[in-house]
Amino acid sequence: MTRSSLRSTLVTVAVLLGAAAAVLVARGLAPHPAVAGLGQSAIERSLGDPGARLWIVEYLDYQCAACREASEYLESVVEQRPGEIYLQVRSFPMRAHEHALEAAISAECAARQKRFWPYHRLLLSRQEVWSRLEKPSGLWASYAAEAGLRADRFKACLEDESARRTVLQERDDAAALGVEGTPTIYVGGEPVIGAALLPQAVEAALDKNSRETSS
Amino acid sequence: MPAIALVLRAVLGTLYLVSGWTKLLSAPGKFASTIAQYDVVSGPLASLAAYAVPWAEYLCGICLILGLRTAGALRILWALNTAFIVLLSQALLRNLAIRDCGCFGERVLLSPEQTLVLDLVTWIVFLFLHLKLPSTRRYTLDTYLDR
Repeated sequence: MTRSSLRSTLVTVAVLLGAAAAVLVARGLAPHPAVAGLGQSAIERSLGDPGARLWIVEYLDYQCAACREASEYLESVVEQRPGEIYLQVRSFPMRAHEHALEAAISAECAARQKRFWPYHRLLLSRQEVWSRLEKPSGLWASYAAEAGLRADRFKACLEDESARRTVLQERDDAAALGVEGTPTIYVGGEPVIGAALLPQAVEAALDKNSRETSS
Repeated sequence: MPAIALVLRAVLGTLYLVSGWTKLLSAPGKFASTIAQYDVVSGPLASLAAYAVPWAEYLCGICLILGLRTAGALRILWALNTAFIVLLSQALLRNLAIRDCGCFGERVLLSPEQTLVLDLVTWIVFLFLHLKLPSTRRYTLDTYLDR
Protein backbone atom coordinates (compact mmCIF):
# COMPACT_ATOMS: atom_id res chain seq x y z
CA MET A 1 0.00 0.00 0.00
CA THR A 2 1.45 3.35 -1.01
CA ARG A 3 1.65 6.23 1.40
CA SER A 4 -1.04 8.22 -0.39
CA SER A 5 -3.50 5.32 -0.51
CA LEU A 6 -2.92 4.64 3.20
CA ARG A 7 -3.56 8.30 3.95
CA SER A 8 -6.69 8.23 1.81
CA THR A 9 -7.98 5.10 3.56
CA LEU A 10 -7.37 6.58 6.99
CA VAL A 11 -9.15 9.83 6.09
CA THR A 12 -12.08 7.89 4.61
CA VAL A 13 -12.43 5.73 7.72
CA ALA A 14 -12.19 8.78 9.99
CA VAL A 15 -14.82 10.70 8.01
CA LEU A 16 -17.22 7.75 7.88
CA LEU A 17 -16.81 7.01 11.59
CA GLY A 18 -17.32 10.69 12.43
CA ALA A 19 -20.44 10.82 10.28
CA ALA A 20 -21.84 7.66 11.85
CA ALA A 21 -21.07 9.02 15.33
CA ALA A 22 -22.98 12.21 14.47
CA VAL A 23 -26.07 10.15 13.66
CA LEU A 24 -25.78 8.16 16.88
CA VAL A 25 -25.33 11.32 18.96
CA ALA A 26 -28.30 13.00 17.22
CA ARG A 27 -30.43 9.90 17.87
CA GLY A 28 -29.40 9.94 21.52
CA LEU A 29 -30.15 13.63 21.99
CA ALA A 30 -33.46 13.67 20.19
CA PRO A 31 -36.60 12.26 21.78
CA HIS A 32 -37.57 8.95 20.27
CA PRO A 33 -38.22 9.77 16.61
CA ALA A 34 -41.66 8.27 16.75
CA VAL A 35 -42.76 10.74 19.40
CA ALA A 36 -40.66 13.72 18.37
CA GLY A 37 -43.66 15.66 17.14
CA LEU A 38 -45.76 15.08 20.23
CA GLY A 39 -46.02 17.37 23.21
CA GLN A 40 -44.70 16.28 26.61
CA SER A 41 -48.21 15.77 27.94
CA ALA A 42 -49.08 13.38 25.09
CA ILE A 43 -45.89 11.42 25.79
CA GLU A 44 -46.83 11.20 29.47
CA ARG A 45 -50.19 9.77 28.46
CA SER A 46 -48.50 6.95 26.60
CA LEU A 47 -47.42 3.44 27.50
CA GLY A 48 -45.10 0.99 25.82
CA ASP A 49 -42.25 1.31 23.38
CA PRO A 50 -42.55 4.19 20.87
CA GLY A 51 -40.58 2.02 18.47
CA ALA A 52 -43.25 -0.69 18.59
CA ARG A 53 -44.80 -1.61 15.27
CA LEU A 54 -48.35 -1.26 16.52
CA TRP A 55 -49.52 2.16 17.63
CA ILE A 56 -52.85 2.37 19.39
CA VAL A 57 -54.49 5.70 20.05
CA GLU A 58 -57.46 5.65 22.35
CA TYR A 59 -59.91 8.55 22.42
CA LEU A 60 -61.79 8.37 25.68
CA ASP A 61 -64.28 10.11 27.84
CA TYR A 62 -63.86 9.53 31.56
CA GLN A 63 -67.58 9.27 32.08
CA CYS A 64 -68.08 6.53 29.55
CA ALA A 65 -68.30 2.98 30.93
CA ALA A 66 -67.12 1.34 27.70
CA CYS A 67 -64.01 3.56 27.83
CA ARG A 68 -63.15 2.08 31.20
CA GLU A 69 -63.46 -1.41 29.77
CA ALA A 70 -61.41 -0.53 26.70
CA SER A 71 -58.72 1.19 28.78
CA GLU A 72 -58.35 -1.75 31.14
CA TYR A 73 -58.01 -4.14 28.23
CA LEU A 74 -55.48 -1.92 26.42
CA GLU A 75 -53.29 -1.48 29.49
CA SER A 76 -53.27 -5.21 30.08
CA VAL A 77 -52.40 -6.07 26.48
CA VAL A 78 -49.53 -3.55 26.44
CA GLU A 79 -48.20 -5.22 29.58
CA GLN A 80 -48.61 -8.71 28.15
CA ARG A 81 -46.95 -7.89 24.81
CA PRO A 82 -43.90 -5.81 25.77
CA GLY A 83 -42.22 -4.02 22.89
CA GLU A 84 -45.06 -4.75 20.49
CA ILE A 85 -47.52 -1.96 21.26
CA TYR A 86 -47.34 1.76 21.88
CA LEU A 87 -50.51 3.07 23.48
CA GLN A 88 -51.53 6.67 23.70
CA VAL A 89 -54.56 8.03 25.51
CA ARG A 90 -56.23 11.17 24.17
CA SER A 91 -59.20 13.04 25.53
CA PHE A 92 -62.51 13.27 23.81
CA PRO A 93 -64.88 14.51 26.51
CA MET A 94 -68.38 14.24 25.14
CA ARG A 95 -70.63 17.25 25.55
CA ALA A 96 -73.43 14.97 26.73
CA HIS A 97 -71.41 13.99 29.81
CA GLU A 98 -71.46 16.93 32.14
CA HIS A 99 -68.33 16.06 34.16
CA ALA A 100 -66.24 14.57 31.38
CA LEU A 101 -64.46 17.79 30.43
CA GLU A 102 -63.47 18.60 34.01
CA ALA A 103 -62.26 15.04 34.52
CA ALA A 104 -60.17 15.21 31.34
CA ILE A 105 -58.65 18.51 32.48
CA SER A 106 -57.71 17.00 35.82
CA ALA A 107 -56.08 14.05 34.02
CA GLU A 108 -54.16 16.52 31.87
CA CYS A 109 -52.93 18.18 35.07
CA ALA A 110 -51.79 14.80 36.34
CA ALA A 111 -49.90 14.24 33.07
CA ARG A 112 -48.13 17.56 33.59
CA GLN A 113 -46.79 16.21 36.88
CA LYS A 114 -45.80 12.95 35.17
CA ARG A 115 -48.38 11.03 37.20
CA PHE A 116 -50.96 10.50 34.51
CA TRP A 117 -51.31 6.72 34.72
CA PRO A 118 -52.05 6.31 38.45
CA TYR A 119 -54.50 9.21 38.29
CA HIS A 120 -56.11 7.93 35.07
CA ARG A 121 -56.62 4.51 36.67
CA LEU A 122 -58.24 6.11 39.71
CA LEU A 123 -60.60 8.19 37.59
CA LEU A 124 -61.67 5.12 35.66
CA SER A 125 -61.93 2.70 38.54
CA ARG A 126 -64.01 5.16 40.58
CA GLN A 127 -66.03 6.37 37.64
CA GLU A 128 -69.28 5.22 39.16
CA VAL A 129 -68.57 7.17 42.35
CA TRP A 130 -67.70 10.59 40.99
CA SER A 131 -69.84 10.61 37.88
CA ARG A 132 -73.01 10.43 39.99
CA LEU A 133 -72.13 13.47 42.06
CA GLU A 134 -73.42 16.90 41.27
CA LYS A 135 -70.00 18.47 41.81
CA PRO A 136 -67.36 15.74 41.56
CA SER A 137 -64.48 18.19 41.23
CA GLY A 138 -64.08 18.10 45.02
CA LEU A 139 -62.86 14.54 44.67
CA TRP A 140 -60.11 15.35 42.18
CA ALA A 141 -57.83 16.64 44.94
CA SER A 142 -58.14 13.45 46.95
CA TYR A 143 -57.49 11.30 43.87
CA ALA A 144 -54.52 13.51 43.06
CA ALA A 145 -53.09 13.00 46.54
CA GLU A 146 -53.62 9.26 46.21
CA ALA A 147 -51.87 9.27 42.85
CA GLY A 148 -48.88 11.07 44.35
CA LEU A 149 -49.45 14.50 42.84
CA ARG A 150 -48.36 17.70 44.48
CA ALA A 151 -51.53 19.38 45.71
CA ASP A 152 -50.45 22.99 45.13
CA ARG A 153 -49.35 22.39 41.56
CA PHE A 154 -52.45 20.35 40.82
CA LYS A 155 -54.74 23.09 42.13
CA ALA A 156 -52.87 25.75 40.16
CA CYS A 157 -53.12 23.65 37.02
CA LEU A 158 -56.88 23.17 37.41
CA GLU A 159 -57.28 26.92 37.67
CA ASP A 160 -55.00 27.57 34.75
CA GLU A 161 -56.58 27.89 31.31
CA SER A 162 -53.79 26.09 29.51
CA ALA A 163 -54.81 22.56 30.60
CA ARG A 164 -58.38 23.27 29.48
CA ARG A 165 -57.09 24.57 26.14
CA THR A 166 -55.02 21.42 25.62
CA VAL A 167 -58.03 19.17 26.24
CA LEU A 168 -60.35 21.22 24.04
CA GLN A 169 -57.76 21.31 21.27
CA GLU A 170 -57.39 17.56 21.48
CA ARG A 171 -61.16 17.15 21.26
CA ASP A 172 -61.34 19.48 18.25
CA ASP A 173 -58.49 17.62 16.54
CA ALA A 174 -60.23 14.32 17.16
CA ALA A 175 -63.49 15.65 15.77
CA ALA A 176 -61.65 16.84 12.68
CA LEU A 177 -60.24 13.33 12.34
CA GLY A 178 -63.78 11.95 12.34
CA VAL A 179 -64.13 10.83 15.95
CA GLU A 180 -67.78 11.09 16.96
CA GLY A 181 -68.09 8.96 20.05
CA THR A 182 -66.11 7.12 22.66
CA PRO A 183 -64.25 4.97 22.95
CA THR A 184 -62.80 5.33 19.48
CA ILE A 185 -59.54 3.47 19.24
CA TYR A 186 -57.18 3.65 16.31
CA VAL A 187 -55.42 0.32 16.11
CA GLY A 188 -52.53 0.75 13.70
CA GLY A 189 -54.47 3.57 12.08
CA GLU A 190 -57.72 1.61 11.72
CA PRO A 191 -60.62 2.94 13.78
CA VAL A 192 -62.42 0.61 16.16
CA ILE A 193 -65.52 1.98 17.81
CA GLY A 194 -66.52 0.58 21.17
CA ALA A 195 -64.85 -1.89 23.49
CA ALA A 196 -66.48 -5.09 22.27
CA LEU A 197 -64.52 -5.53 19.05
CA LEU A 198 -61.28 -4.18 20.44
CA PRO A 199 -59.54 -7.42 21.54
CA GLN A 200 -60.24 -8.97 18.16
CA ALA A 201 -58.87 -5.93 16.30
CA VAL A 202 -55.74 -5.74 18.45
CA GLU A 203 -55.02 -9.46 18.09
CA ALA A 204 -55.51 -9.25 14.32
CA ALA A 205 -53.10 -6.29 14.09
CA LEU A 206 -50.52 -8.05 16.24
CA ASP A 207 -50.82 -11.24 14.17
CA LYS A 208 -50.46 -9.25 10.95
CA ASN A 209 -47.32 -7.58 12.30
CA SER A 210 -45.77 -10.85 13.41
CA ARG A 211 -46.56 -12.46 10.03
CA GLU A 212 -44.91 -9.54 8.23
CA THR A 213 -41.88 -9.77 10.50
CA SER A 214 -41.44 -13.50 9.98
CA SER A 215 -42.13 -13.53 6.20
CA MET B 1 -15.95 22.93 -16.17
CA PRO B 2 -14.40 21.81 -12.84
CA ALA B 3 -16.20 24.66 -11.09
CA ILE B 4 -19.57 23.53 -12.49
CA ALA B 5 -18.78 19.95 -11.51
CA LEU B 6 -17.90 21.15 -7.99
CA VAL B 7 -21.24 22.95 -7.61
CA LEU B 8 -23.23 20.00 -8.98
CA ARG B 9 -21.32 17.60 -6.77
CA ALA B 10 -22.05 19.73 -3.69
CA VAL B 11 -25.74 20.04 -4.58
CA LEU B 12 -26.14 16.29 -5.18
CA GLY B 13 -24.14 15.44 -2.09
CA THR B 14 -26.27 17.75 0.07
CA LEU B 15 -29.46 16.32 -1.40
CA TYR B 16 -28.47 12.77 -0.48
CA LEU B 17 -26.97 13.75 2.86
CA VAL B 18 -30.25 15.41 3.90
CA SER B 19 -32.29 12.55 2.50
CA GLY B 20 -30.26 9.94 4.39
CA TRP B 21 -30.09 11.98 7.60
CA THR B 22 -33.86 12.52 7.82
CA LYS B 23 -34.50 8.82 7.28
CA LEU B 24 -31.89 7.81 9.83
CA LEU B 25 -33.53 10.02 12.44
CA SER B 26 -37.10 9.13 11.61
CA ALA B 27 -39.19 6.45 13.30
CA PRO B 28 -37.88 2.91 12.92
CA GLY B 29 -40.02 1.03 10.47
CA LYS B 30 -41.23 4.22 8.77
CA PHE B 31 -38.95 3.84 5.75
CA ALA B 32 -39.61 0.09 5.62
CA SER B 33 -43.33 0.78 5.32
CA THR B 34 -42.60 3.38 2.63
CA ILE B 35 -40.64 0.76 0.69
CA ALA B 36 -43.52 -1.68 1.11
CA GLN B 37 -45.82 0.82 -0.66
CA TYR B 38 -43.90 0.18 -3.88
CA ASP B 39 -44.89 -3.49 -3.74
CA VAL B 40 -41.59 -4.80 -5.11
CA VAL B 41 -39.67 -6.06 -2.11
CA SER B 42 -40.99 -7.30 1.20
CA GLY B 43 -39.89 -9.14 4.32
CA PRO B 44 -36.16 -9.30 5.15
CA LEU B 45 -35.15 -7.70 1.86
CA ALA B 46 -37.32 -4.65 2.58
CA SER B 47 -35.88 -4.46 6.10
CA LEU B 48 -32.35 -4.70 4.73
CA ALA B 49 -33.06 -1.97 2.17
CA ALA B 50 -34.69 0.19 4.86
CA TYR B 51 -31.54 -0.14 6.92
CA ALA B 52 -28.90 0.16 4.20
CA VAL B 53 -30.32 2.83 1.89
CA PRO B 54 -30.37 5.71 4.41
CA TRP B 55 -26.82 4.97 5.53
CA ALA B 56 -25.62 4.71 1.92
CA GLU B 57 -27.30 8.01 1.03
CA TYR B 58 -25.94 9.79 4.08
CA LEU B 59 -22.35 8.51 3.92
CA CYS B 60 -22.02 8.74 0.14
CA GLY B 61 -23.57 12.22 0.28
CA ILE B 62 -20.82 13.33 2.66
CA CYS B 63 -18.16 11.68 0.50
CA LEU B 64 -19.52 13.44 -2.58
CA ILE B 65 -19.49 16.84 -0.90
CA LEU B 66 -15.96 16.37 0.38
CA GLY B 67 -14.74 14.69 -2.79
CA LEU B 68 -13.64 11.64 -0.87
CA ARG B 69 -13.76 8.36 -2.83
CA THR B 70 -15.63 10.53 -5.31
CA ALA B 71 -16.01 8.02 -8.13
CA GLY B 72 -17.25 5.26 -5.80
CA ALA B 73 -19.72 7.53 -3.99
CA LEU B 74 -20.95 8.84 -7.34
CA ARG B 75 -21.57 5.32 -8.67
CA ILE B 76 -23.34 4.09 -5.54
CA LEU B 77 -25.66 7.11 -5.47
CA TRP B 78 -26.27 6.87 -9.22
CA ALA B 79 -27.22 3.21 -8.81
CA LEU B 80 -29.61 4.15 -5.99
CA ASN B 81 -31.05 6.96 -8.08
CA THR B 82 -31.61 4.56 -10.98
CA ALA B 83 -33.29 2.08 -8.65
CA PHE B 84 -35.59 4.84 -7.33
CA ILE B 85 -36.56 5.76 -10.90
CA VAL B 86 -37.38 2.12 -11.70
CA LEU B 87 -39.37 1.73 -8.47
CA LEU B 88 -41.31 4.92 -8.99
CA SER B 89 -42.01 4.27 -12.67
CA GLN B 90 -43.42 0.80 -12.01
CA ALA B 91 -45.53 2.23 -9.15
CA LEU B 92 -46.93 4.93 -11.43
CA LEU B 93 -47.56 2.45 -14.26
CA ARG B 94 -49.35 0.09 -11.86
CA ASN B 95 -51.26 3.02 -10.41
CA LEU B 96 -50.16 2.15 -6.88
CA ALA B 97 -51.32 4.52 -4.19
CA ILE B 98 -48.04 6.09 -3.08
CA ARG B 99 -48.86 8.62 -0.42
CA ASP B 100 -45.32 9.72 0.28
CA CYS B 101 -42.23 9.05 -1.78
CA GLY B 102 -40.20 8.55 1.40
CA CYS B 103 -37.39 10.69 0.01
CA PHE B 104 -36.89 13.22 2.79
CA GLY B 105 -38.65 11.72 5.76
CA GLU B 106 -41.78 13.55 6.89
CA ARG B 107 -40.44 17.07 6.45
CA VAL B 108 -40.83 17.32 2.69
CA LEU B 109 -43.63 15.41 1.07
CA LEU B 110 -43.37 15.02 -2.69
CA SER B 111 -45.90 13.42 -4.99
CA PRO B 112 -44.66 10.43 -7.06
CA GLU B 113 -44.72 12.59 -10.21
CA GLN B 114 -42.65 15.36 -8.59
CA THR B 115 -40.24 12.77 -7.26
CA LEU B 116 -39.85 11.15 -10.66
CA VAL B 117 -39.03 14.51 -12.27
CA LEU B 118 -36.49 15.23 -9.52
CA ASP B 119 -34.94 11.79 -9.92
CA LEU B 120 -34.71 12.11 -13.70
CA VAL B 121 -33.01 15.51 -13.41
CA THR B 122 -30.68 14.04 -10.82
CA TRP B 123 -29.95 11.10 -13.11
CA ILE B 124 -28.84 13.50 -15.85
CA VAL B 125 -26.59 15.31 -13.38
CA PHE B 126 -25.05 11.98 -12.37
CA LEU B 127 -24.47 11.16 -16.04
CA PHE B 128 -22.79 14.53 -16.58
CA LEU B 129 -20.54 14.13 -13.53
CA HIS B 130 -19.65 10.60 -14.58
CA LEU B 131 -18.79 11.60 -18.15
CA LYS B 132 -16.72 14.49 -16.83
CA LEU B 133 -15.05 12.47 -14.11
CA PRO B 134 -11.65 14.17 -14.44
CA SER B 135 -13.38 17.55 -13.90
CA THR B 136 -15.52 16.10 -11.13
CA ARG B 137 -12.38 14.93 -9.34
CA ARG B 138 -10.62 18.25 -9.71
CA TYR B 139 -11.52 20.07 -6.47
CA THR B 140 -11.73 17.08 -4.20
CA LEU B 141 -10.07 15.66 -1.13
CA ASP B 142 -9.07 12.71 -3.34
CA THR B 143 -6.86 14.97 -5.44
CA TYR B 144 -5.28 16.43 -2.33
CA LEU B 145 -4.70 13.03 -0.73
CA ASP B 146 -3.29 11.49 -3.94
CA ARG B 147 -0.49 14.03 -4.08
